[in-house]
Amino acid sequence: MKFSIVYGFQILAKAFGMAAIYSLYIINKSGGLIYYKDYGSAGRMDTNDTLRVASLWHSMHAISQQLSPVSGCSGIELLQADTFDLHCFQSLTGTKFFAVCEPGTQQIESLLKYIYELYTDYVLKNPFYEIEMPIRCELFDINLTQSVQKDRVALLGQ
Amino acid sequence: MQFFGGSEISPSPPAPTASGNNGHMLYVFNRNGICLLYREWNRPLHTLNAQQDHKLMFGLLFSLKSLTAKMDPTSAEKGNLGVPQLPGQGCSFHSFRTNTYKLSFMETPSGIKIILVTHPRTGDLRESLKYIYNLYVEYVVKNPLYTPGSPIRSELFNTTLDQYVRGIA
Repeated sequence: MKFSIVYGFQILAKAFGMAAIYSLYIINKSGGLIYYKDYGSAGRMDTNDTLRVASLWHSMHAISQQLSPVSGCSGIELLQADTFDLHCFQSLTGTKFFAVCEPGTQQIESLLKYIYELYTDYVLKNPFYEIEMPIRCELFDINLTQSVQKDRVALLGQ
Repeated sequence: MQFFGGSEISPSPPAPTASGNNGHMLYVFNRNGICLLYREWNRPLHTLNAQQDHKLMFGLLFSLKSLTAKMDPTSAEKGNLGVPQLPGQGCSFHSFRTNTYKLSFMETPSGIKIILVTHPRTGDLRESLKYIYNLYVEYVVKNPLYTPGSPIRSELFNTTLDQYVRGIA
Protein backbone atom coordinates (compact mmCIF):
# COMPACT_ATOMS: atom_id res chain seq x y z
CA MET A 1 0.00 0.00 0.00
CA LYS A 2 2.71 2.39 1.02
CA PHE A 3 4.77 1.47 -2.01
CA SER A 4 1.94 2.22 -4.40
CA ILE A 5 1.52 5.69 -2.92
CA VAL A 6 5.19 6.43 -3.41
CA TYR A 7 5.08 5.05 -6.93
CA GLY A 8 2.00 7.12 -7.71
CA PHE A 9 3.82 10.19 -6.49
CA GLN A 10 6.73 9.52 -8.80
CA ILE A 11 4.43 9.19 -11.79
CA LEU A 12 2.69 12.44 -10.82
CA ALA A 13 6.01 14.19 -10.37
CA LYS A 14 7.12 13.07 -13.80
CA ALA A 15 3.85 14.13 -15.38
CA PHE A 16 4.26 17.64 -13.99
CA GLY A 17 7.91 17.78 -14.86
CA MET A 18 8.90 18.03 -11.23
CA ALA A 19 11.83 16.66 -9.39
CA ALA A 20 11.87 13.04 -8.39
CA ILE A 21 14.04 12.22 -5.43
CA TYR A 22 15.13 8.64 -5.07
CA SER A 23 16.61 8.72 -1.60
CA LEU A 24 17.93 10.99 1.12
CA TYR A 25 20.84 10.45 3.49
CA ILE A 26 22.09 12.41 6.49
CA ILE A 27 25.51 11.57 7.87
CA ASN A 28 27.20 12.94 10.98
CA LYS A 29 30.63 14.53 11.02
CA SER A 30 32.42 11.19 11.39
CA GLY A 31 30.63 9.54 8.48
CA GLY A 32 28.03 7.56 10.40
CA LEU A 33 24.59 7.36 8.83
CA ILE A 34 22.05 9.01 11.10
CA TYR A 35 19.09 9.18 8.74
CA TYR A 36 18.08 7.37 5.57
CA LYS A 37 14.88 7.55 3.62
CA ASP A 38 14.02 5.84 0.37
CA TYR A 39 11.43 7.33 -1.95
CA GLY A 40 11.02 4.38 -4.27
CA SER A 41 14.26 3.44 -5.99
CA ALA A 42 14.48 0.08 -7.70
CA GLY A 43 16.11 -2.64 -5.64
CA ARG A 44 16.14 -1.36 -2.09
CA MET A 45 19.43 -1.46 -0.28
CA ASP A 46 19.57 -3.19 3.06
CA THR A 47 20.65 -1.39 6.23
CA ASN A 48 24.24 -2.56 6.08
CA ASP A 49 24.62 -1.33 2.52
CA THR A 50 23.23 2.10 3.33
CA LEU A 51 25.70 2.40 6.20
CA ARG A 52 28.58 1.38 3.92
CA VAL A 53 27.54 3.73 1.14
CA ALA A 54 27.22 6.61 3.60
CA SER A 55 30.66 6.17 5.10
CA LEU A 56 32.14 5.62 1.64
CA TRP A 57 30.67 8.93 0.55
CA HIS A 58 32.18 10.58 3.61
CA SER A 59 35.68 9.43 2.59
CA MET A 60 35.20 10.31 -1.08
CA HIS A 61 34.15 13.77 0.01
CA ALA A 62 37.32 14.13 2.08
CA ILE A 63 39.60 12.82 -0.68
CA SER A 64 38.12 15.20 -3.23
CA GLN A 65 39.27 18.06 -1.02
CA GLN A 66 42.83 16.74 -1.04
CA LEU A 67 42.96 16.57 -4.82
CA SER A 68 41.86 20.14 -5.42
CA PRO A 69 44.19 22.14 -7.67
CA VAL A 70 43.40 25.35 -5.74
CA SER A 71 43.04 25.91 -2.02
CA GLY A 72 39.73 26.33 -0.22
CA CYS A 73 37.97 23.23 -1.51
CA SER A 74 35.05 22.01 0.57
CA GLY A 75 34.25 18.71 -1.11
CA ILE A 76 31.92 17.35 -3.77
CA GLU A 77 28.69 19.26 -4.24
CA LEU A 78 27.29 17.43 -7.24
CA LEU A 79 28.09 14.03 -8.64
CA GLN A 80 26.64 13.27 -12.07
CA ALA A 81 26.32 9.55 -12.67
CA ASP A 82 24.84 7.85 -15.72
CA THR A 83 21.41 7.28 -14.17
CA PHE A 84 21.23 9.74 -11.29
CA ASP A 85 22.56 12.97 -9.80
CA LEU A 86 23.82 13.14 -6.24
CA HIS A 87 23.62 16.53 -4.56
CA CYS A 88 25.49 17.02 -1.32
CA PHE A 89 25.21 19.83 1.20
CA GLN A 90 27.60 20.08 4.11
CA SER A 91 26.65 22.18 7.10
CA LEU A 92 29.25 24.22 8.97
CA THR A 93 29.39 21.59 11.72
CA GLY A 94 30.25 18.81 9.27
CA THR A 95 26.88 17.11 9.01
CA LYS A 96 26.29 16.13 5.39
CA PHE A 97 22.91 15.96 3.70
CA PHE A 98 22.79 14.26 0.34
CA ALA A 99 20.03 13.34 -2.03
CA VAL A 100 19.96 10.99 -4.98
CA CYS A 101 17.65 12.27 -7.69
CA GLU A 102 16.91 12.07 -11.39
CA PRO A 103 19.59 13.47 -13.72
CA GLY A 104 19.17 17.17 -14.36
CA THR A 105 16.87 17.86 -11.41
CA GLN A 106 17.03 21.51 -10.42
CA GLN A 107 16.69 23.15 -7.02
CA ILE A 108 17.80 20.20 -4.96
CA GLU A 109 20.35 22.46 -3.28
CA SER A 110 17.62 24.65 -1.84
CA LEU A 111 15.66 21.57 -0.80
CA LEU A 112 18.71 20.26 1.07
CA LYS A 113 19.10 23.60 2.81
CA TYR A 114 15.44 23.47 3.75
CA ILE A 115 15.94 19.95 5.12
CA TYR A 116 18.86 21.33 7.13
CA GLU A 117 16.48 23.88 8.60
CA LEU A 118 14.03 21.13 9.49
CA TYR A 119 16.91 19.23 11.09
CA THR A 120 17.88 22.18 13.25
CA ASP A 121 14.27 22.82 14.23
CA TYR A 122 12.96 19.34 14.88
CA VAL A 123 16.06 17.31 15.67
CA LEU A 124 18.61 19.56 17.33
CA LYS A 125 15.96 21.36 19.40
CA ASN A 126 14.52 18.08 20.59
CA PRO A 127 15.71 17.66 24.20
CA PHE A 128 15.67 13.88 23.91
CA TYR A 129 17.90 13.76 20.85
CA GLU A 130 21.50 12.77 21.45
CA ILE A 131 23.81 14.56 19.08
CA GLU A 132 25.50 12.46 16.34
CA MET A 133 23.09 9.58 16.97
CA PRO A 134 20.46 8.17 14.57
CA ILE A 135 17.46 10.46 14.16
CA ARG A 136 14.19 9.17 15.53
CA CYS A 137 11.99 12.23 15.72
CA GLU A 138 8.40 11.96 14.61
CA LEU A 139 7.98 15.64 13.88
CA PHE A 140 11.05 15.64 11.69
CA ASP A 141 9.69 12.67 9.75
CA ILE A 142 6.32 14.31 9.24
CA ASN A 143 7.73 17.62 8.07
CA LEU A 144 10.30 15.98 5.84
CA THR A 145 7.68 13.83 4.15
CA GLN A 146 5.57 16.91 3.56
CA SER A 147 8.38 18.94 2.09
CA VAL A 148 9.58 16.19 -0.22
CA GLN A 149 6.38 14.46 -1.28
CA LYS A 150 4.15 17.45 -1.69
CA ASP A 151 7.02 18.60 -3.79
CA ARG A 152 7.98 21.93 -2.48
CA VAL A 153 11.04 21.67 -4.65
CA ALA A 154 9.44 23.76 -7.34
CA LEU A 155 8.33 26.44 -4.88
CA LEU A 156 11.50 26.62 -2.88
CA GLY A 157 13.64 27.89 -5.66
CA GLN A 158 11.58 31.03 -6.07
CA MET B 1 12.56 30.29 3.24
CA GLN B 2 16.07 30.85 1.92
CA PHE B 3 18.38 30.08 4.81
CA PHE B 4 21.55 31.40 3.28
CA GLY B 5 21.77 34.54 1.24
CA GLY B 6 22.93 33.15 -2.04
CA SER B 7 22.89 29.70 -3.51
CA GLU B 8 26.56 29.16 -2.76
CA ILE B 9 27.63 28.78 0.81
CA SER B 10 31.36 28.46 0.26
CA PRO B 11 33.57 31.01 -1.45
CA SER B 12 34.34 30.00 -5.00
CA PRO B 13 37.06 31.26 -7.30
CA PRO B 14 36.21 34.13 -9.60
CA ALA B 15 34.30 33.38 -12.75
CA PRO B 16 36.43 32.74 -15.81
CA THR B 17 37.30 36.04 -17.40
CA ALA B 18 39.48 35.17 -20.34
CA SER B 19 39.19 31.74 -21.86
CA GLY B 20 42.27 29.62 -22.12
CA ASN B 21 43.32 29.33 -18.51
CA ASN B 22 40.62 27.14 -17.00
CA GLY B 23 42.09 23.71 -17.52
CA HIS B 24 43.88 22.62 -14.36
CA MET B 25 45.23 19.16 -15.09
CA LEU B 26 44.70 15.96 -17.03
CA TYR B 27 45.36 12.36 -16.06
CA VAL B 28 45.37 9.26 -18.23
CA PHE B 29 45.36 5.90 -16.45
CA ASN B 30 45.37 2.44 -17.92
CA ARG B 31 43.26 -0.37 -16.52
CA ASN B 32 45.96 -1.43 -14.08
CA GLY B 33 46.00 1.97 -12.44
CA ILE B 34 49.30 3.05 -13.96
CA CYS B 35 49.40 6.75 -14.74
CA LEU B 36 50.30 6.94 -18.43
CA LEU B 37 50.17 10.68 -18.63
CA TYR B 38 49.89 13.60 -16.27
CA ARG B 39 49.64 17.13 -17.64
CA GLU B 40 49.37 20.20 -15.47
CA TRP B 41 48.53 23.70 -16.67
CA ASN B 42 47.38 25.64 -13.68
CA ARG B 43 47.82 24.08 -10.27
CA PRO B 44 48.86 26.39 -7.44
CA LEU B 45 48.20 23.82 -4.72
CA HIS B 46 50.13 20.56 -4.36
CA THR B 47 49.18 18.62 -1.24
CA LEU B 48 51.06 15.41 -2.06
CA ASN B 49 53.98 14.27 -4.14
CA ALA B 50 53.23 13.24 -7.73
CA GLN B 51 53.10 9.49 -7.20
CA GLN B 52 50.84 9.70 -4.15
CA ASP B 53 48.62 12.14 -5.97
CA HIS B 54 48.13 9.73 -8.88
CA LYS B 55 47.40 6.86 -6.55
CA LEU B 56 44.85 8.91 -4.65
CA MET B 57 43.16 10.03 -7.85
CA PHE B 58 42.90 6.47 -9.16
CA GLY B 59 41.59 5.29 -5.80
CA LEU B 60 38.98 8.03 -5.74
CA LEU B 61 37.71 7.11 -9.20
CA PHE B 62 37.66 3.42 -8.41
CA SER B 63 35.69 3.93 -5.21
CA LEU B 64 33.32 6.46 -6.74
CA LYS B 65 32.57 3.97 -9.49
CA SER B 66 31.71 1.24 -7.02
CA LEU B 67 29.62 3.76 -5.08
CA THR B 68 27.60 4.81 -8.13
CA ALA B 69 27.19 1.16 -9.20
CA LYS B 70 25.75 0.36 -5.79
CA MET B 71 23.60 3.47 -5.54
CA ASP B 72 22.04 3.21 -9.00
CA PRO B 73 18.32 3.75 -8.28
CA THR B 74 17.12 2.41 -11.63
CA SER B 75 18.37 -1.17 -11.50
CA ALA B 76 17.30 -3.81 -9.02
CA GLU B 77 20.33 -6.09 -9.32
CA LYS B 78 23.40 -4.23 -8.16
CA GLY B 79 25.66 -6.82 -6.59
CA ASN B 80 27.87 -6.13 -3.62
CA LEU B 81 29.62 -2.91 -2.78
CA GLY B 82 33.31 -2.82 -3.66
CA VAL B 83 33.35 -5.74 -6.10
CA PRO B 84 35.62 -4.76 -9.01
CA GLN B 85 33.71 -4.16 -12.22
CA LEU B 86 34.69 -4.36 -15.83
CA PRO B 87 34.68 -1.15 -17.87
CA GLY B 88 31.13 -0.42 -18.97
CA GLN B 89 29.60 -2.68 -16.36
CA GLY B 90 27.31 -1.14 -13.78
CA CYS B 91 26.33 2.51 -13.41
CA SER B 92 29.33 4.80 -13.77
CA PHE B 93 29.68 8.58 -13.50
CA HIS B 94 30.85 11.25 -15.89
CA SER B 95 31.65 14.23 -13.70
CA PHE B 96 31.59 15.72 -10.26
CA ARG B 97 31.82 19.30 -9.10
CA THR B 98 33.19 20.92 -5.95
CA ASN B 99 33.33 24.62 -5.17
CA THR B 100 36.87 24.89 -6.58
CA TYR B 101 37.02 22.48 -9.51
CA LYS B 102 35.10 20.18 -11.80
CA LEU B 103 36.36 16.73 -12.65
CA SER B 104 35.22 15.06 -15.86
CA PHE B 105 35.81 11.38 -16.29
CA MET B 106 35.65 8.94 -19.16
CA GLU B 107 36.47 5.25 -19.32
CA THR B 108 36.94 3.41 -22.59
CA PRO B 109 36.04 -0.27 -23.08
CA SER B 110 39.74 -1.11 -22.88
CA GLY B 111 39.93 0.42 -19.41
CA ILE B 112 41.76 3.63 -20.31
CA LYS B 113 40.58 6.37 -17.95
CA ILE B 114 40.80 9.99 -18.99
CA ILE B 115 40.34 12.62 -16.29
CA LEU B 116 40.17 16.32 -16.95
CA VAL B 117 40.06 18.82 -14.09
CA THR B 118 38.74 22.27 -14.97
CA HIS B 119 37.10 25.35 -13.52
CA PRO B 120 33.83 24.45 -11.68
CA ARG B 121 31.68 26.38 -14.12
CA THR B 122 32.73 24.60 -17.28
CA GLY B 123 29.92 22.77 -19.02
CA ASP B 124 29.57 19.17 -20.11
CA LEU B 125 32.94 17.89 -21.36
CA ARG B 126 31.97 14.38 -22.41
CA GLU B 127 32.49 15.11 -26.09
CA SER B 128 35.82 16.79 -25.41
CA LEU B 129 37.04 13.74 -23.52
CA LYS B 130 36.08 11.58 -26.47
CA TYR B 131 38.11 13.86 -28.67
CA ILE B 132 41.08 13.60 -26.32
CA TYR B 133 40.75 9.82 -26.53
CA ASN B 134 40.85 10.20 -30.32
CA LEU B 135 44.08 12.15 -29.99
CA TYR B 136 45.46 9.39 -27.79
CA VAL B 137 44.60 6.78 -30.40
CA GLU B 138 46.08 8.83 -33.22
CA TYR B 139 49.30 9.97 -31.58
CA VAL B 140 50.05 7.25 -29.06
CA VAL B 141 48.42 3.95 -29.95
CA LYS B 142 49.33 4.28 -33.64
CA ASN B 143 52.91 5.11 -32.80
CA PRO B 144 54.94 1.95 -33.54
CA LEU B 145 57.57 2.89 -30.97
CA TYR B 146 55.10 3.05 -28.09
CA THR B 147 54.91 0.06 -25.74
CA PRO B 148 51.40 -0.31 -24.28
CA GLY B 149 51.32 0.29 -20.54
CA SER B 150 54.37 2.56 -20.45
CA PRO B 151 54.20 6.28 -19.68
CA ILE B 152 53.48 8.41 -22.73
CA ARG B 153 56.44 10.45 -23.94
CA SER B 154 55.31 12.03 -27.13
CA GLU B 155 56.08 15.65 -27.75
CA LEU B 156 53.58 15.84 -30.60
CA PHE B 157 50.77 14.42 -28.47
CA ASN B 158 51.55 16.82 -25.63
CA THR B 159 51.52 19.93 -27.80
CA THR B 160 48.31 18.92 -29.58
CA LEU B 161 46.70 18.18 -26.24
CA ASP B 162 47.81 21.49 -24.73
CA GLN B 163 46.44 23.33 -27.70
CA TYR B 164 43.11 21.52 -27.57
CA VAL B 165 42.58 21.96 -23.82
CA ARG B 166 43.38 25.66 -24.11
CA GLY B 167 40.68 25.84 -26.73
CA ILE B 168 37.91 24.14 -24.74
CA ALA B 169 38.44 25.14 -21.13
